[in-house]
Amino acid sequence: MKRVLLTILSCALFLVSSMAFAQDRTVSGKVTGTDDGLPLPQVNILIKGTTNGTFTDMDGNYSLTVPSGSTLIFRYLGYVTQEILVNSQTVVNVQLAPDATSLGEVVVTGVAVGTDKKNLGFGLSQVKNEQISAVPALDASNTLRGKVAGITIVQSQGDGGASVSLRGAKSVFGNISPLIIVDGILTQQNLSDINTDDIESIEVIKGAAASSLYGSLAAGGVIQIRTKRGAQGKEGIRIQYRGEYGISEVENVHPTASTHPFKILPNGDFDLTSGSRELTDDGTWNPYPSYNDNFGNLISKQPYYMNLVSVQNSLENYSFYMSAQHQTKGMISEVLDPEERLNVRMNFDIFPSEKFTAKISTSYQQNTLTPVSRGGQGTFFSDALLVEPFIDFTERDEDGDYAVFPTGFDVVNSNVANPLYQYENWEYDDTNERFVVGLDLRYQLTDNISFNVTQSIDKFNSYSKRYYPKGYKTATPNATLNNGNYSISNNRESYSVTSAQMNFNKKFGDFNVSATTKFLHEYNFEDGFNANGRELVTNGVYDLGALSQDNRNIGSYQRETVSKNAFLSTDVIWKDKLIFNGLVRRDGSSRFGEEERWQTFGRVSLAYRITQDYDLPIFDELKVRASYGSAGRRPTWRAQYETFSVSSSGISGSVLGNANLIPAVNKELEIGIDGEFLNRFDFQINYASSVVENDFIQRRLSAVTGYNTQFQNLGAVESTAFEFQMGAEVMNKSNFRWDANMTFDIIRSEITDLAGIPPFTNGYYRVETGEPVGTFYGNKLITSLDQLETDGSGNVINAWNADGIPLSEFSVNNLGYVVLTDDIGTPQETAFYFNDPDNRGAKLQTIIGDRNPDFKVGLSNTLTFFNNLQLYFLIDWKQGGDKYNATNQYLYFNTRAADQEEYARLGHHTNFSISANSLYNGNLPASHFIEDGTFVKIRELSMSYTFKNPVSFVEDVRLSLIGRNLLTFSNYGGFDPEGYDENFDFPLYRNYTVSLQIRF
Amino acid sequence: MKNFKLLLASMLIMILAFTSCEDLEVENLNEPDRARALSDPGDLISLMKSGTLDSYWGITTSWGTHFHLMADQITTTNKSRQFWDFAEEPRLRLQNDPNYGGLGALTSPWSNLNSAVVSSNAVLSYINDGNTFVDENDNDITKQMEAGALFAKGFAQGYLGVIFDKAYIVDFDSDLGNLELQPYTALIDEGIANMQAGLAAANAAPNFKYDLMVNVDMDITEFTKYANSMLARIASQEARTSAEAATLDWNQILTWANNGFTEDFYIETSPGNWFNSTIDWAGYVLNSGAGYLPTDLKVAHLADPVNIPQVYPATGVLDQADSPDARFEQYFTYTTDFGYLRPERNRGIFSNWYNSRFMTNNTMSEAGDQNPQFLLAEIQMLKAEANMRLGNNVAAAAAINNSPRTSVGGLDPVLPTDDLTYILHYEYSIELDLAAGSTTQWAFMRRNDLLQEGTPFMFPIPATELEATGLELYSFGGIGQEGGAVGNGWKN
Repeated sequence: MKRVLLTILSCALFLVSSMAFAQDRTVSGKVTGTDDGLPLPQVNILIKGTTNGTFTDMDGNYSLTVPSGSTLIFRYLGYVTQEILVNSQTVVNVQLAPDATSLGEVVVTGVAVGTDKKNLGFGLSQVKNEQISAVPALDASNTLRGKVAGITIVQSQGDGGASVSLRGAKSVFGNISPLIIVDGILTQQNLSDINTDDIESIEVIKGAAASSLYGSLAAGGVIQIRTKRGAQGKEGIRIQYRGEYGISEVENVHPTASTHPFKILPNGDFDLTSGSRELTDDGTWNPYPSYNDNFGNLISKQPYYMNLVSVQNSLENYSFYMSAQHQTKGMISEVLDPEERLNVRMNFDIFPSEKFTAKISTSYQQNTLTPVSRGGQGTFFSDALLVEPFIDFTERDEDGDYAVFPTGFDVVNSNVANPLYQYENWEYDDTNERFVVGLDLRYQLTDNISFNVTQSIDKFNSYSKRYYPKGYKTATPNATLNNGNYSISNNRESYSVTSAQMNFNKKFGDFNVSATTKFLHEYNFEDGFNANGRELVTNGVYDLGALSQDNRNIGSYQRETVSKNAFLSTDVIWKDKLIFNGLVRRDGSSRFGEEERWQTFGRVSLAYRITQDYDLPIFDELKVRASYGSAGRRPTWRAQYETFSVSSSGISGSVLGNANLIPAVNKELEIGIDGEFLNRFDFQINYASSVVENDFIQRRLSAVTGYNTQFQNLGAVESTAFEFQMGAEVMNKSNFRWDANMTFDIIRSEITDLAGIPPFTNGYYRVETGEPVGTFYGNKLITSLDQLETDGSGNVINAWNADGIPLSEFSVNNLGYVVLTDDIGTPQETAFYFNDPDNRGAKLQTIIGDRNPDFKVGLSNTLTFFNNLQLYFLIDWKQGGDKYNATNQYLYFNTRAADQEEYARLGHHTNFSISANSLYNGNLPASHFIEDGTFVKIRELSMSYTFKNPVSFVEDVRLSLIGRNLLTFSNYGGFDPEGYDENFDFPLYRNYTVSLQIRF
Repeated sequence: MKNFKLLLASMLIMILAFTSCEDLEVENLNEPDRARALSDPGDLISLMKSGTLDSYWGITTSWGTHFHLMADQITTTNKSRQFWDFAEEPRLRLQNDPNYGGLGALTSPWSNLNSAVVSSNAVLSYINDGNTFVDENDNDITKQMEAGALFAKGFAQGYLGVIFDKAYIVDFDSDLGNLELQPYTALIDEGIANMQAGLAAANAAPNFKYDLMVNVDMDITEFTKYANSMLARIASQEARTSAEAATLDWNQILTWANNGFTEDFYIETSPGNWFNSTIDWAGYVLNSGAGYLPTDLKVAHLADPVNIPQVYPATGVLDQADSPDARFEQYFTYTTDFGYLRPERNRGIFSNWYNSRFMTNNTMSEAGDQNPQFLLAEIQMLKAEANMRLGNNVAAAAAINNSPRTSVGGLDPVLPTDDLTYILHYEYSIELDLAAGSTTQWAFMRRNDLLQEGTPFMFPIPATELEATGLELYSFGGIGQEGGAVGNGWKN
């Protein structure tokens, strides 16, 4: 009975409730924003669990028939989504709060007009000012580390800018640089030129699927920097000062030997009775008669300092931002002058009316550089490492100069020069400056149509002088320098871009349609001259006319490039959830061959914002997208022209012309997912597959043609990239906040076609179909007995110079190399190379390594305590990727490598490492010098404290301790595992500074 | 919607209109192209001068040192440019590979000599079309240009035949796409024919002047001697072995030699344009006092066979040679410093001497430096060898005695019954060291079976050329291998 009653009651309740649910009512109201109280049009209102909904009108009003008890979801771009349960109300007014995580998400790269990030059909990574300011990078490319997946930033020289590339190789020779745009201005700058304190945000689009908008400029992707413009929603003039002072030092020194392998007399001097130094018979290494740490004396900690002032203001009708920064960068050595850089920027925006906007961006930069030679023997760092410690570079000769032939020089008999002498006696002046101006005018004709006109100029000028006085001493007689030498060169380049653009935008029912057409005209002009000569008539005269007439050389050049481009881009957005974009671009350039002046590029993309239709449990935003696009790379200036080389002795054929030269084209398919969940996490996953065709190869011709080479479109490369990046507000409590960013990528490339020309070698790297781009090619050592092949009688046949030796006589020594067992520990012990079966008497040349990493991970964390104390660190992990240590190889030849001392301790004679057919291999590429470049680096670490309002007119003061390039964990034995090969290069700096920032 | 379509259409039309304007023609103003360079006779003269220069460079570039290493005129254990591979004993096979660091020894003559042919053909083609050349006074110099072009072409083809086993014969009307490689004998025949045609054209030219080479200005008499000397030299260098040498027309060679130079022929350096770079490298002295590429022990041994061995001793330093020949100490400088020679590589090829005869200020590249191109002594040796091979030892000995061997060296006169081949080798090694172009000693030794066993006695076509034309790679040299000299050579 009870049960029956219960059943009836529950049924009744159910009926009543369902009737209540089933009771539709009309709900209406107004939606406004909490930031300004103004109505929000086009707000999406969805009945939860259904696909029914509506949009607010221009005044923020809506009206919807809603079953009672439904939950309404109010969703609007840039605002935090709200859910409101509707029971019996008929009027529901909603105030939506601006969404902090997606404020300022209007992006301008890869799209015709500013577009909300949520409406992009391709992947775009963005790095904002707050993420940069914790450790203002000395090289702006470092701001992208750990924040953008799929980017490869390689700093292989301590004093140079890093090279930046996106995703996989776009050429059989390697990857290419992205296009750099600053505030909409197409520029020839490098990221390292830009003052990071000026940066408001950086947008990166990584492949042709996105960069198609830029046509033949952007096969390498695009990086756009947007600098501060003063419009920050706060009124009143804001002034900022920041100063940084600290020390730079060498992060890591290449290990060298502190003993030597030569015979000595009982008193410790070298035994020279046979006319020259001889190796010890048993391979012992002996201490030097005296010891000077020449490298240590040359390299020392040097100061770094920087001062910066900026002023900005934003008012009703205009805003501006101005900054000036000066940096002095010590060059880790007493003898090298510090480098200086000056950056000045002025941005001025005027908006006299709602319809009209004018933006002016100007910047000026000046650099003073110190030339330091590197990259092989006979350079600053090779001299510093090769010199043996019993020689003292600080010794003075009878003229009072640093000794070019210090005591002991004749014993060594190598041509190591004394860098102290060079920098005390030669003079140099390397300066460059760049001036960039851009004007951007925008006019809104009607609600639907607007026009945009821009004009920019990028002017660059560089100047270089070198002076060697009369009587300049050199280690080997050098007629070019010994009687004085003076050279001057000057180069300038100007790049001017004009564009006109028309935008159309209109809503047709559920379709939001926009179209843009734009025309661009580019003009690039470069010219330069150089003049040099030797034999100064007298010293101290800096006049090219004072050089001996017979020994003067002069040269000059000029180059022009004209390009015209146009594109038409259309976006169609259906119900704010399905986004389509189509783009066609036509590029004409004087750099393309005469018969092929015009080329076409394009893109198609589709994106679907899942969360507009479905209410997913944790996802605030989830979008899937696919994009397919093409972009190109222009040939170098010379490539199409037929040239004869001209000199005073006549003319002769050089490069055969190619009227059919076309740009290399990159076609890329990119699919990806963008999402935000739990209102605290945002992520992006991309998979990109790209094909490059018609890569330029300067092909060698037969000598009978009268020309040496011709540029031809011959190469094809395929690459894929998988990228994952995530930003997280891990914890956000009242006194503690933890933000983290992580990036992960796997990039692979392969050469797929060489149009029938045979594989060739480009430096250390092999260009061969079926192989990845960037494989090392050279002679390979045999490391296990299974690698040996024998003939019928058990004699080895595939080891070089070991014909007819029975397999039984070989074994693996304690260094992991196959040797003849009887020779171990004797001067005859040698490692064995694979033999080339097709070329009798030659060692096999084969692929011995691959410079591409298996994957890369970047991790950055910001911990904020009590809103004042902030700790930040950036970790960089590269797994895999070989590096060729040519520095070590040449150290072997000169018995200066720490390895060799180790080998002696392990019982091997010096010949094992230095013989031209053993490890050293006559300085030819060899497998022993391929090393694993895996590393984990603590790139950046900073701790800062902000004092808020310490005095009335000061907004805040921030004191930071900053460390850059702090620690490297790696098994790599050379200077640094970053980069693909090293050959006495400039070591990387570690840098500690204190920074003080005051904002008024 | 209609308005939108209209707008879209007009945008498209604008784009099409914009993109069809074509002023993307930008010229390269830095370097001329074929149309410019080959249409103007002035430019063609310029091209021919460059082509003539190429033919001279063919045997005087810095890569000429490799021939001297093979001929045991100089020695080293330095692996820069793979020098050591060419000097090492026992001899190694040549590595004809596109990546080989020593490939310049092949590509340098190959590209310079073929380039000379291309330039000559451009001029001959222009003349064949009925065009004329005039000098600055409007005199017709067409015949003179034709002579210069034919001579440079023949010179280059001759040397291609001397150095390589095969090469192309290219005329101005050849179909470049269908060229066949010709054996060296054909190259030398063609080269000789063209040099003779050049000489004939020179004789037919009014007021002939040979001034296509920098710092050279010859009239018809001087040019005739020059041409005859080159004909004698190149023809004598055809043979790869002594068996082959016996088949050469030594009568003809003797005739050419008899009409050759009557005094030493030097060319003055033109800074920035040309100097003898082989000598510049081979004669370079390090600050320690040692030669960068020391004179081979063979030369000292020939000068003093009593005290100087054929192989450098394993310990100790050799004393200065005690030679009856006064030229030895004049031309070569002694030093106890071993320079860049490394004992752990091969002490047996060490040396204590370097050639100091021609260099001033440790270079040949300065204005005023005199580069020996063809010494009178070489004419005398060619006459001597020709006579010897024709059975006329008396005349041969007389020719040798008429050379600096007696007048400068102070040695006793040679008798017809002496080992004339040995004495000729002596003279080529000491008197003509570095003074006869890069191939002369190597060619002399190979046609007299004096090269060490395994020395490559000719070069294959360079690997880079083989690759560019899709041919298979091949090589020469090495003991018991194709293209390698047989027998102990001069160490017998």
